[in-house]
Amino acid sequence: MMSAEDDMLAAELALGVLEGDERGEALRRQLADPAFAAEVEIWRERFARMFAEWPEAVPADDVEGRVMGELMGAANDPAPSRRGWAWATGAITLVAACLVLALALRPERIVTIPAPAPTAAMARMVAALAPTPDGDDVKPFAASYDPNTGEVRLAGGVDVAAGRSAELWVIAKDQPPHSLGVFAGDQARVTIGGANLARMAPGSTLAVSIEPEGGSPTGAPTGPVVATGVLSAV
Amino acid sequence: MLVATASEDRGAFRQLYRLTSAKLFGICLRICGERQAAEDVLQEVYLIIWRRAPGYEPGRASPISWLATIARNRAIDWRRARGLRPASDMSEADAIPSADPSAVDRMLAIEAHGQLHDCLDTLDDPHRDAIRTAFFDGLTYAELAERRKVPLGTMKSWVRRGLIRLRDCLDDVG
Repeated sequence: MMSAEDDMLAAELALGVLEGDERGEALRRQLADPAFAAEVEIWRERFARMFAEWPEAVPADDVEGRVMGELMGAANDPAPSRRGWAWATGAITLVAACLVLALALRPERIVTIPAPAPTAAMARMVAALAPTPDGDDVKPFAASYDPNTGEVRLAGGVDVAAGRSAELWVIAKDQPPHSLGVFAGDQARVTIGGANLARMAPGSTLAVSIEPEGGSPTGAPTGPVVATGVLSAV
Repeated sequence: MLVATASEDRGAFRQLYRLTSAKLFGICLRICGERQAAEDVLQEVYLIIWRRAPGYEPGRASPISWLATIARNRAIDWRRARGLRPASDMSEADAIPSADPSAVDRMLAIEAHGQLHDCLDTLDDPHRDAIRTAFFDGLTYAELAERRKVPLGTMKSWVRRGLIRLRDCLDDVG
């Protein structure tokens, strides 16, 4: 149990009111003492509720290009820095997926879903589906999978020309793609079953291909793969 | 291979930027006080987010408050490293919520329906004002004391009493 004095120090560090030696000492504590660091995090989450009141402001258009350009620079860095692509791979996708999911699954929609029994519930998974080079017109979107119901929900979708269908696939480790079904429009839901349930695991990839109407005639993707994303447990 | 993970991450990152940049820039602009600097800081913030993403734990912090905290801390570090004076009171000008809240703001508004605001309301006015001003303007104890024209010791005691009351209230409501 954290002493009341340490708890105050954690709150002051999280709020940002300390300076000089006091702040330095608190920062050292944060690095050296996991219990103290956890307390700082609790206070940060508490204060974070106030971010709702913070006014937004739109940055200049070129900032997005500068940010993305810096990432490309990091990617091309010949030095095997652990701060480049390899290190971050998949992680930002998870952050984005969580954010998109939180935005898409707002409480007013969640309330209609009966809560699964907490004892038997399996962790939900999410994937951020990002466009491939073949998916020029595709906007990134999130998929969430509830193992308790076997339902995949898509927050977003893919535009498909008339006479074509978007088909969702799962690619478990070292396996060929297996179809989860075709879907249409935004906010689609795909219910899966059978052997696909076992394929839906953290690390498996979801992919969307464009197929003839009704889905691939062969059981494997025949058209361009326009978006992919890796499942992570939430 | 169907999967190009790097480009997938890049797509996700661009989407993250588009969803959150207005909120994070609002934070940087308020604390840095000028556009050019705030844009430079915003750029740094997204690189920090990129590097720290592996440490993000979905169960612990909401994604938007995790991102906003990084922006606020980086902007405060930037201002203090330059010894610049803080911006003026937020309560004076732009605290008016926009008429058409973005998706991120709607999400934050829902999160804000927690207990923090109820508990803040129970604080004495000077204590609540000190905590809110510290948060929104990124002020130190010394800067708070100067702005409210009270001795440093008084300001520290206001903030601490407010924090203790806040903690007890939050503990009570669970």
